[in-house]
Amino acid sequence: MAVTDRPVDAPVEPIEPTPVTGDAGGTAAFRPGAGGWVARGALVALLVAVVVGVPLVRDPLDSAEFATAVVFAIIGLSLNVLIGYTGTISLGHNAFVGVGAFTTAYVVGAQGQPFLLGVAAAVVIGAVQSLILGGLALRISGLYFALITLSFGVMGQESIFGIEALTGGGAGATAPTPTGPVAYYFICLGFLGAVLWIDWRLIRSKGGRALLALRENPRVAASLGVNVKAYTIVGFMVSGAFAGLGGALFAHNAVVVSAQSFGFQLALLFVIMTVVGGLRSRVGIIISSSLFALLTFLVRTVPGFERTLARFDLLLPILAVGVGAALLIGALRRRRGPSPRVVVGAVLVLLGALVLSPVTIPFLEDRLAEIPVLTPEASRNVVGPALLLLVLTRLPGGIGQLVKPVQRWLTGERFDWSIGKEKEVQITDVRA
Amino acid sequence: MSVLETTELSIRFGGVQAAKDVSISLGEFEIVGVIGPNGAGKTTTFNMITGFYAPNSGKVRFRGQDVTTMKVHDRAALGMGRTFQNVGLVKGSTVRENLLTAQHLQARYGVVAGLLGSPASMEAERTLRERADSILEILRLDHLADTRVQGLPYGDLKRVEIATVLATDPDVLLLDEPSSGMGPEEAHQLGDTLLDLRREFGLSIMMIEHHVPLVVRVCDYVYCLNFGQMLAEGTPEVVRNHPEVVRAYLGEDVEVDDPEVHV
Repeated sequence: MAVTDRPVDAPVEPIEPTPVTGDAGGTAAFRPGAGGWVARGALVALLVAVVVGVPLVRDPLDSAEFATAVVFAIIGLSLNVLIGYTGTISLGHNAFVGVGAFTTAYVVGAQGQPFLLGVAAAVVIGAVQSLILGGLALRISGLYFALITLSFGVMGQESIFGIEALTGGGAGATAPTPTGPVAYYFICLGFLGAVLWIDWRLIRSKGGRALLALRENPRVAASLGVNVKAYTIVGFMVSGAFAGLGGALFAHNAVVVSAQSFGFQLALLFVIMTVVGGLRSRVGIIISSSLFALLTFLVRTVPGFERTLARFDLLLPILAVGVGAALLIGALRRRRGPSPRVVVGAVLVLLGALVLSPVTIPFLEDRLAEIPVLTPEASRNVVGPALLLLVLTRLPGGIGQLVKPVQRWLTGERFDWSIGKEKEVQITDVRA
Repeated sequence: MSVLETTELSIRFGGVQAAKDVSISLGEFEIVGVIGPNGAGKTTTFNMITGFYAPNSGKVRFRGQDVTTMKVHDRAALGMGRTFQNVGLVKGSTVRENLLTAQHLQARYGVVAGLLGSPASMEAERTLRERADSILEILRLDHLADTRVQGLPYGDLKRVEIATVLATDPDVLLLDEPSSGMGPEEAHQLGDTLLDLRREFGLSIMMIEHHVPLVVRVCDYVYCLNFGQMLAEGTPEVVRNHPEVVRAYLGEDVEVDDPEVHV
């Protein structure tokens, strides 16, 4: 261990200082050409057109659905602060959101105060209630803390939200939409912009850096001068404020909210959409959250989609084709060359799909056609866990990982698929 | 007067007396080494000095002030910076981001101002960034600034960690095995770095170290711990040749005057 084979005083040969090399790979200032900029501009314009234009073009009644998508994005970002930045999981975010919803319903609906005051109250109350939970998180961590948030969520749904004087009990509370549905969608979009700004500044200021440090290793964070307890609370309060805001906007969108609106299923959906979106990836979470919010709507609206989902005989071959294609692609992309067994398997599955298809076996249609497999409402409860499984096993960065190359490309870099390859999901809580 | 001083620090974990009556003193601008076999209580002593463990008895003084019961982050604010045996860095962040994180106490703006992105906080962030880059340049790590910590070679990690601790603007540096994972040449370079840092930043350094040539070259004074107790102290030459020390490292039967043995 401490024995060297060389006398201590022997002159050590002079060592050349490490040459200061440029960035590995020499990414010497790549600048896209004129065409490149036009392509980037076109993509941005397309995105803006979809976000701004679609609600203007479609039936105004659909705007409520689009507003829900925006609200879900805010809630996803709220959960991201907890899971992604502070590293604690919340299974009670339905209650976080519900508290905001009932606060604004009380302030605006029952007391007749202006909309913005209701939202502000929801933000403050949201932050305060998460302060209490954050205090608990200082003492309890990991699974046990997840259990506590779970009980908080269930308690909110079963008892707190049932207090008639505050929440209207079973009949629910009313939170009128302040404007028409289309204008309200843009109001929500404005609030999402504010949340994005704060989230961005959080990560680029000392508070967010402290959170990231203490998520990975609270002892290191403390030795760098971070007050671990105070910043855990800060993380909770930011998340709670976002959740309160999301709840308030949710309430004014739904107009009537009751305890049933905030069941445990919702908390689970929030966690799933955040993780599928990709922890610490704002863009990924926005995409994922709004997709989950819009899933029912999409299934109903996209032609043929609902009918396909509802018919076993149509769904089965489609699934088989999907599985077969995935197997085939996976086998072909293997570095050591395609594995013959998997290729044969994939081909068999694809042939099976053909055989199963109602064209070849008409009698299946009669037997199975009327069995409803997936109602539009249930679709996200099936799609969600399936996607979660996929993310946890194959794609730890979630949707965020997929869109990261595009994001980088948009900022004027070279397009590179290998950017953002992550190896493992980090939902860690080391504050044991 | 000593900058950092412990008097008779003792701590017991269940039936194990991990440290007993450990008295260490670090003078201004001194480099002090703490050596000893595995399990001697070196890191435990560091943990008591920096506040991760509360000693059962004894005192820790920093510039004469009793800090025995002070919180870790408050000691950091006083000017205690430490590194960890298994590298204390935020692995998901880049090297520069780690240095920014380390300037937590230098960031003179409120958390809320930072959240809202007030002009003052933006300006402060720019200053922090410049300072981070200048520290990286001094330690010749500027080419790594935008590299993620995860995946860096171990020797680089150790140097980045020292840069990170420097960013906290410490008076005292407590280094836990800074040369581990380095080859002899790298360790020699590390010695140069430490001597430079002491001169340029006016630091006092206490380090746990196994690499004897490094200890002998840079340390003004050495403490040797064994089984939680002070075995020997003195100048590096004295401690290195101390019969008890040699025995602790190599066992009972070693010829102490063997010229090949350098503990």
